[in-house]
Formats: sequence, C-alpha cells, structure tokens
Amino acid sequence: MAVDPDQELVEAAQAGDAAALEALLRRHHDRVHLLCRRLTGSDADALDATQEALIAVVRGLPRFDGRSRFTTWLHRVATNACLDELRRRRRRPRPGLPDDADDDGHPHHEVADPRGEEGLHAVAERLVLDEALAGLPVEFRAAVVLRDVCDLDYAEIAEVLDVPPGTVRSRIARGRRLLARQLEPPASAGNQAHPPDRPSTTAPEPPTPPQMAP
Amino acid sequence: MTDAPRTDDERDELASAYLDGEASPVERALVEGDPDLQDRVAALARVRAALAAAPAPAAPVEDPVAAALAAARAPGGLLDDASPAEAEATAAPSESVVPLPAGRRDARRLRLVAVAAAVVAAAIAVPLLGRATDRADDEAATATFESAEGPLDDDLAGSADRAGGAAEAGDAPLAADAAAPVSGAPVAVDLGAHSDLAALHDAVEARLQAQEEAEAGGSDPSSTVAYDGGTTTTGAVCAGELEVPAGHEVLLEATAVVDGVPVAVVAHRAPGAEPIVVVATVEGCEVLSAGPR
Repeated sequence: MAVDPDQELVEAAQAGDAAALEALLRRHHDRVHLLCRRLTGSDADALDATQEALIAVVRGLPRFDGRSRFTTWLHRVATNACLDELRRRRRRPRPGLPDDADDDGHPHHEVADPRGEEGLHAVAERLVLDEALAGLPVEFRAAVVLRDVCDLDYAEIAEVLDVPPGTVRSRIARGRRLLARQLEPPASAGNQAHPPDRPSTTAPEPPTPPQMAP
Repeated sequence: MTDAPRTDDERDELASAYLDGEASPVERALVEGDPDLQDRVAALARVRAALAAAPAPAAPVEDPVAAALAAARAPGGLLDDASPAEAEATAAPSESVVPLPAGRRDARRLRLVAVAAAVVAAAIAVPLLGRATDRADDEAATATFESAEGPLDDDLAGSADRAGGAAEAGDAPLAADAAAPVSGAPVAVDLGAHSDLAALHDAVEARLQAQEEAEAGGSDPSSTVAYDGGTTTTGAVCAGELEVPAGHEVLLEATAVVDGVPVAVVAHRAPGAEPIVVVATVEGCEVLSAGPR
C-alpha cells in the first residue's frame, strides 16, 4: 500500500497536536461535505451530517489504527453520519412545512449567485441532479456517490459500505442505470430537461442499510 | 463474468465496470467487441460526468471544524490536557460541555436542552400545581410528565451519543433560550384509552371542538398558545419527533393510550389553516399519524 498522505497529520493529531487535528479536519471538510450533500440531498441536512461526521472523526481518531487509508475510514464515518441523518429525517414527522421548504412545501435550495445564465444553469443542473439522486434507493445512491463523486475504487467502497465488491459493482451499475433514465431526455422530447416519468423527490425512501461500525 | 451477458442488468453491470476500469481483461474484450455494450458505456459515462461535474454548494467550514475541535477539547477528548486517568475521572456527561457554533442546525440541540429544561420545570411545577389549585387540568399535567420520564431519558442519551456529545451542550445561555417556548405551551391533558387511532382522533376532534366553542364563548381565552418553534411540553416526550414549526399555534398537547400503547399527541396549526394532529408512541417515538385532523 502506498504511504497514506494523511499519515503524518493523523499520527500528530492522535498524539494531541491541535494544529495537526485542525489541519486534518480542514483538509477533508469539503470532501465530507460534498459526500453528505449528495447523499442527503439537502443543504441543511448536509451541514448537520458534516458536523456530526467531523465530531465522530475526532472521537474515533484514537482508535484509528491505520490499517486502511485515512480517507477510506473517513468516508465510512461520514457515510454513517449521513445515513443517520437520513434516518432521523425519515423518522421526523412533517406536521407542517420543513424549515427548508417554501410555502408550497417544496424544498428550497440556496439562491444562485446572480452572475447571469451560467450561474442559473449550474443551479438548474444541480436541482435536476438532486432530484435524480433522491429518487435512488439509498444503497445505490451511496455506492454511486462514493464512486462518481468521491472517486473511491470498488475495493474502497466495499470497505466503506461493508459489502462484498461484487455487490458494489452491481449497486453502482443499477444506480447509474436509474440515474441515466432520469437524467437523459427521452428521445422524443428533444432537449426537455425533465422526463415526464421522473420520480418525485417526495417519494418514500426504501429501507436504509444497517449501520456500519466506524 | 466471462460469458457474454444476456440480461439488461448484466450488460449494464459489465458496461459500468468497464467504465470504472474494474472489468477483467476478458470482460474488456467483450465490451470492446460489442456495439450495444459500447453504447451503454457511453450512456453511463454521461451520468458519471454529470455527477462529477455537478457544482457543489459552498459550505461554511468554520462551524463544523470548530464543533469538532470543541469535542476534541472536551474532557476525555483527543485534545484534553488531562491524563487519561484524569480524563476518565472527569468525563462525566454533565461536564462534557461542547460549545457549538450557533446556527439553524443547532435547533435540534436547542430542543434537547429544551427537553431538559422542561423536565426541570416539571419537577418544580407539578408539585406546586398539585398544591395550589383544584383546576381540572392539573392531574393531566402530572400524568404527562410521569409518562415522559423514561423515554425522555433514553432519547436524550441516544441523541447525545449520535451527536458525539453535541447534545451535552447544556450551557446556560442555550437552556435559557430554549426554555422560553416550552413554558408558554398549553398544559397537557390526558385523552384516556382508545382502541385504535381512529378513536383517538375522534377524541382529539371532540377536544378541539370543545376548545373552539369555549373560545367562541369567551370562557377560555388562553387555551391556545402562539409558538415560536421547537418542542412542546408533550413533544418533549419524543424530542425532535413532535416538532412545531415556528409561528404555529399549539391547540392541544395530550397523552393517551391507543390499544394499550402510551402515546403523545400534539395538535397545532398555522394561522388560518386547518389543525394538524401528530401522534407518536411514548416508547420509541414512532410517529403513528401526522396530518390534518
């Protein structure tokens, strides 16, 4: 195994070096947030899950033994935090409007930086992507996001999700296929951005996989 | 997989693995000799590119990092200066204060603190209520708090564990802020035992109608409370599960038993809207129903 680029910081942090710990957290914050954003599909839940993940990293770091790469372990911890957040979200009743929903009950996303069409286009793309990802069963979503967003290989994803590599391969393929159906405009619809059979993001989610130990 | 895949699933799986460089040499040869598989690779490649290229919203880095560092500095944490033995001795939950940055997502922790505040308030208020007056709703309040005790503790402990100590942030300013809405909520009532949810909903309906009539007659002007968001006294049974959106009016807080299962009930509404009734089990906080009455 190649030398883990985080090894030095990890060892220093484990020895109680505050600066090393902070540097480690800052180095990986964006990665964790991106994972959480794609998995939870919500800015607010992603922020929450990111914070939970970083706290879990800090608490688990003394037990991290370096047998896997730090980033693999980090993704495992962060994925668990996101799945926890999704479970909590599902358990929460929706007696009224969520605090991140508009008056019609639709989740609102942050307003685009008004820098013209490019910014709007980027936001529109992300909204479509968010909806497509939200339509995936969470186990497919996790596998696809870890592969295509976090760039982990199948062996690492298998370690993160605690499933055999063959299962990873199957979940990624099935997840991508579902995404392709949702993202690609039907042949007869020209450049229509929203296929008519696109599932609603408010559809109930399937059961989440069991909790993975960090 | 060395034979030519036949089903769509098999063909997509092979194309996907090829795209990721995870196919075996034999599988690669299969893909490269099959135009349909190459089309599938191209389609999946577009999905992968869309995911990889999708802009990610900027995230504030300071708050999560600050919270994590605070957790590390807590007694027994990674950066705690105390020796391991000292840390173990001082790592009682009540002392593991993790100052969290302010923000929207701290609302849940505020609610947890509100729950703690509600329990303290209940411990003080219930005996006083019992002595002070003969008001009919006193016994109901007592029943509510008694039924809340066990699961409330469990829920707090579980949340603290999930939050990595975040729920331990019971510092005074947070508690003071969070306690205010709880103290203003209506007194919880006991709706009694019912055979099923429909019967309970009938009881809720009857109760709300009675309240409306009383309000119309001017006999009970204080039966509802404008709420500024969070968990009601009854909702404290299941912190985070029985939330009331800010600006809603809490019409009813109650406990009941449905088919032998203790439940908590909260009815609330947005100004001018239909009431929403939420029923959750006291044990396990499973939401049994939530929606317009």
